[in-house]
Amino acid sequence: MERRDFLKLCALAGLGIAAPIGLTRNAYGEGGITEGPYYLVFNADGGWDTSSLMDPKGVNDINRLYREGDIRTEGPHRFAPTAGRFERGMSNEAFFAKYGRDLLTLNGLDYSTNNHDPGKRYMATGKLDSLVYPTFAALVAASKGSDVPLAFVSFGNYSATGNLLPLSRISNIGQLSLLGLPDHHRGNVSNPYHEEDFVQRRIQQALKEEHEAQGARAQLPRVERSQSMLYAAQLNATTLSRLLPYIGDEQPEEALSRQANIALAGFKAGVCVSANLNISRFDSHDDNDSIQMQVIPELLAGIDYAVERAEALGIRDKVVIVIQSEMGRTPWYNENGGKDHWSIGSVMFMGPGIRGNRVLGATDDGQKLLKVNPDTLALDAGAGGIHIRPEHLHQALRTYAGIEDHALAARFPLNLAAAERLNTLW
Amino acid sequence: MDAFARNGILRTFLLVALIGACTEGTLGALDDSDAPSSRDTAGGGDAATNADAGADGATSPDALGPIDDCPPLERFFENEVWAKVAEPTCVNCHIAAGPAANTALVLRTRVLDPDYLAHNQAAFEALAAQPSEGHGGLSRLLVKVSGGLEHGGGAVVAPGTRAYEILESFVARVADPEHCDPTTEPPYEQPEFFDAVTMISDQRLLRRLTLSLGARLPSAEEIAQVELGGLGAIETVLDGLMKEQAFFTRLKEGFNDIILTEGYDGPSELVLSWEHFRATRGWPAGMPYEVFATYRDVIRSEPLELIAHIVREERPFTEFATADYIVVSPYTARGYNVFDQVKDSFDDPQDPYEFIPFRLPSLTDSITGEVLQESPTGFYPHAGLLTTFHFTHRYPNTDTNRNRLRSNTVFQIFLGTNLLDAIPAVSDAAATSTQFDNPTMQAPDCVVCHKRLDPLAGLYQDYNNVGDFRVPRDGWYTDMFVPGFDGEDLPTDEKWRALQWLGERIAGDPRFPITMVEHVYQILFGRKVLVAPQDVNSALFDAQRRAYLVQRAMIEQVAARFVTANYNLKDVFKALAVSPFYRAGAIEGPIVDPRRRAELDDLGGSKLLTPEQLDRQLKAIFGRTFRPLLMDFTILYGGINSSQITARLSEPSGSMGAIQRVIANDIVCDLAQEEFNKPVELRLLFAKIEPSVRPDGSAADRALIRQTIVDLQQRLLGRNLSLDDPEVERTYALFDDVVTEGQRLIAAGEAHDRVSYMCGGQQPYRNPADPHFTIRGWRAVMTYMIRQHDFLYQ
Repeated sequence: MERRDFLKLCALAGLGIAAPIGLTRNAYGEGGITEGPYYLVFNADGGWDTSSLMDPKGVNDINRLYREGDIRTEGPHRFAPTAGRFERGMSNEAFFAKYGRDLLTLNGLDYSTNNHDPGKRYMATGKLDSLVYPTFAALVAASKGSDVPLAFVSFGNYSATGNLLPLSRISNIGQLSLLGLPDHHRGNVSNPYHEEDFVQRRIQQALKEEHEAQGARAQLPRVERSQSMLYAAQLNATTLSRLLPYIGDEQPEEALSRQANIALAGFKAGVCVSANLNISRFDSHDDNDSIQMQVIPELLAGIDYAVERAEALGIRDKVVIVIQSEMGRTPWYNENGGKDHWSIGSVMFMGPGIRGNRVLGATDDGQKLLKVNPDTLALDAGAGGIHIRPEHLHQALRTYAGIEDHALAARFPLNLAAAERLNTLW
Repeated sequence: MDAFARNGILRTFLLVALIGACTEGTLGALDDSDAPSSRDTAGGGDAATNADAGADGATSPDALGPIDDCPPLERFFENEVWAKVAEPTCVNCHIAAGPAANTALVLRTRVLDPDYLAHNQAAFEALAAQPSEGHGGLSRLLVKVSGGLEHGGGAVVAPGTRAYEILESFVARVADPEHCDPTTEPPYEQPEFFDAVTMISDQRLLRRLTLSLGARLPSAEEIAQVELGGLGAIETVLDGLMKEQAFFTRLKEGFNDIILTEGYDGPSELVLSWEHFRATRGWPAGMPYEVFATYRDVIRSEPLELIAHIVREERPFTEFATADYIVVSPYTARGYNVFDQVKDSFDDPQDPYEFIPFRLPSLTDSITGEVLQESPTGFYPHAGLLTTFHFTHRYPNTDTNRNRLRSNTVFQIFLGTNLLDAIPAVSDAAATSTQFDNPTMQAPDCVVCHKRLDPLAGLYQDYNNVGDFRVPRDGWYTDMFVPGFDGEDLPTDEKWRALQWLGERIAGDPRFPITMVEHVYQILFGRKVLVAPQDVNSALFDAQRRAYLVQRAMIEQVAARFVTANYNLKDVFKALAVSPFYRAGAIEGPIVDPRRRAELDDLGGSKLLTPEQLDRQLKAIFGRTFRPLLMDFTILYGGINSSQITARLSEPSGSMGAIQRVIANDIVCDLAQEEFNKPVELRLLFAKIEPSVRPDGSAADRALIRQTIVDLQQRLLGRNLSLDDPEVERTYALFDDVVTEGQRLIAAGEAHDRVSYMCGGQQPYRNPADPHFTIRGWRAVMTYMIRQHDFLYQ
């Protein structure tokens, strides 16, 4: 059996084989290039207070920052007023004014759990009861760019890959500068370690021969997989340098913006398909309002930075943004002025092909969810209404990304009934 | 049920019948007497002798028989009902410690009862045979799982799903033992589990172990020992290895991956509370920074040093949960204000890294001396890790969390159970939260976890949110399940030592030894043990479950040895190290059937070295390290910081590949010239050759080059190759080509005849003559080898 056929068989069988090397190399013989779309997943880590953002409640003492009459609107979007209530970041007013027309908001999302880890897992993968499902970001990266060097970059939060591809962690730009030229002393182009260029090329040739010799042998799956991933990783290493020109001259101060900066440079360079961005500190069991007024503006500023940066790099029309959290916060305050975990929340999307200026779903005055008709996406308290859950969103995301029928997606089915699919979500 | 659905069930069923038992041939190496040789396939002849030791005592290979459309009911129950429905769904509640403990269906689990399957099958049969009133006489089993008859857990198996169809088939078979349908699934000739799997050589195993656990290459004596004694000598070698300091470094590092106490988010000395230790916890204040830094280092490491102490002294590892002491060093003893009491017990009271056991007196106000802790013994009621301040500070609490994080962490670390893994999808959890006065004690969706989580949480009631010991002024919460453990309430007179009470129960729990084996497995294999497959619709479910059960059987057997050895953790390392799971290295031919591939998918001890392990390996082989690896690059290379980043990466990304390239270039940058600058007797790598030996020299020169390549392959990669091995030929060609082209460039004036001064700093060898380009040729050879799988993976 040809090795390629063998690999195909294994892929069809749903086994964790790394992408065969050499099938989609670029002109340099290095990692592949992706033309987009690119996916940015913003995670509000800890559980956001949606009543302080896109699902305002001015009644029942749900939110003490404002009253019903203070609630602001921008087209169909209703949001909590936050201008002047924080020191750093972006107000809701500014955010919705700037992006409301691009933004699809879904309120009344049923997280189905009140716990951080399961909630993160569920929101990231669409599967609550599995520890092996990949995140959407990993799945789309593997499906759309398995030979792209930094296909899936994560800066935190649930980042399972389903054994489909390696995860990349990049914590600062300085490291990239050093690693962008790994065959040169301290990343200095004038100081190649092996002095003469032909030496490095000859080493690479020997490694290729050695890799092929290993590949020709029957191996245990784990060894075969790791050899393939190792070879790809080293081959792809030099492509890191492609990313460096797209790192801006001035580095943003905020952590979330720094993450976005690296991810977008990777997108622009075509070496990255998706990125998991993370901002923590949302878990406001004490002093909820003060904490949410720190982190929500910081989150929005990070999103704003990402969009602006994408615009500057000329790829805004290729960047898909998902803004989510693993849970909401209670519609009441505890004795410490905090809010505890609540299993109802919201999610927001922006990107090419996503019709913005829309708000779907809702919660009532007690911040309990209202059912939605999956066909019309209108509120439907009758028998046709369903709770929108993460699996509904993930099925829709897979459809949106064009990967719902991909062999890799088929390995991690969401088992959603056809009648529950949100076919008109986008 | 339509014909298609029936066929689906039966296809799966036939696969199960064919794949069947998980019991064969897995554990030969766990018993010295029948350990296979290094090239043995671990199945084969061992299959029969090991059958009973295999999975769960339910099925033996002999019982499989030929392809059978209608296997016995017990097989159907085990592989279909239990594996695909009951274990993933019903066990969450229907166990003695679960919220459904008072119902008619109380199941038993594998770890607590070897005969669990027979018991559970009988319970299911009884339920299946009962018609239910008001539901057309439908089996009570089917009505209950779909939410009828006031099933406390609501609808857990929906009609029309695969799981429901399995139950339908089970009900039909209970009613009619002849019930059966044909199948169209192509047969799978199930081999014995380790069939065609070849083991790494004993010498390669030895090298893997000495590098992994001892941070060094094997000694000549150890090589000879294994040469003489084969696999049987490995345990003897390990006995010596596990007395070396490097082993304890690895042990602590490995256990920190599990307990993560190094990730406490604060100055180390603050694990000692202000109230009890304010007078002494900052004792190095005003001293040189190095003293304070060392103090912080050692006090943070105390829980890991406790583990090292238990293992070093070969004490029962149950002390992980029960030790009635902590360990203190001369520095940390000052923090606890007990130095004067213990200083004479240290071998060297000036050594901040020497740890000895010590029982703290019950806690008092560090200034006034007021007794703040009730203790009939006068001592702090230590219970291993459970009562260390490091643990409670690493896993802090909030007023609403009420110690549940601590509780779940105890379940994970000591009993291998993450209660949040099994959390069910709740139908509108928010509505549930408001529907009940006290959801955590009343709402079935909540009770499923809280009934187990909250009692243990209550045992930590005397530790405040940050982790200090402080008895709550108003007592513990009354709107939670009362303090206790797994269905047993904490006796009132044990409250002052609640965590000791817990530790005693953990030590006696059958899950404890299994969990400890799983921890050592993670340390050795670099990954966690398999979890049971969950997708019952997958065509590979049965193959994956077989892999899971075979591994489970091995874990359980090692756990049994661990218990027999009085919980000596070193026995677990030894048993796992010689198991075929660790030694599996290759397969004799291509794996054609995807089901076979799925069975073997996780097999083998191959793992990407962690940054720390790679650093030590560089030191062991080259006598030097690449410093940025444990500084700037640790996280980027897949390491952890024990707080925000707690999971190691197991496969390299492009950025990790870049680090590998940097290391492979940098570590050898001046290595060859340094080596050749040394007297022959001091060289590590080039003791037999000089730079003057060239490929275009004599036949003896070429032979010497080949021999040097063989030696390098052995030292760097652990390969024992012959002079005419293709890999030696490939390496020789690399050296030859580099040297030949280099010489041509020198002759043409396009390359220098000296090595660049870029590497080597101020060393005298930094810029030596290299007229034949051979120094640079050897450098290329070493870079080539370092970048290979055999170097970067264990």
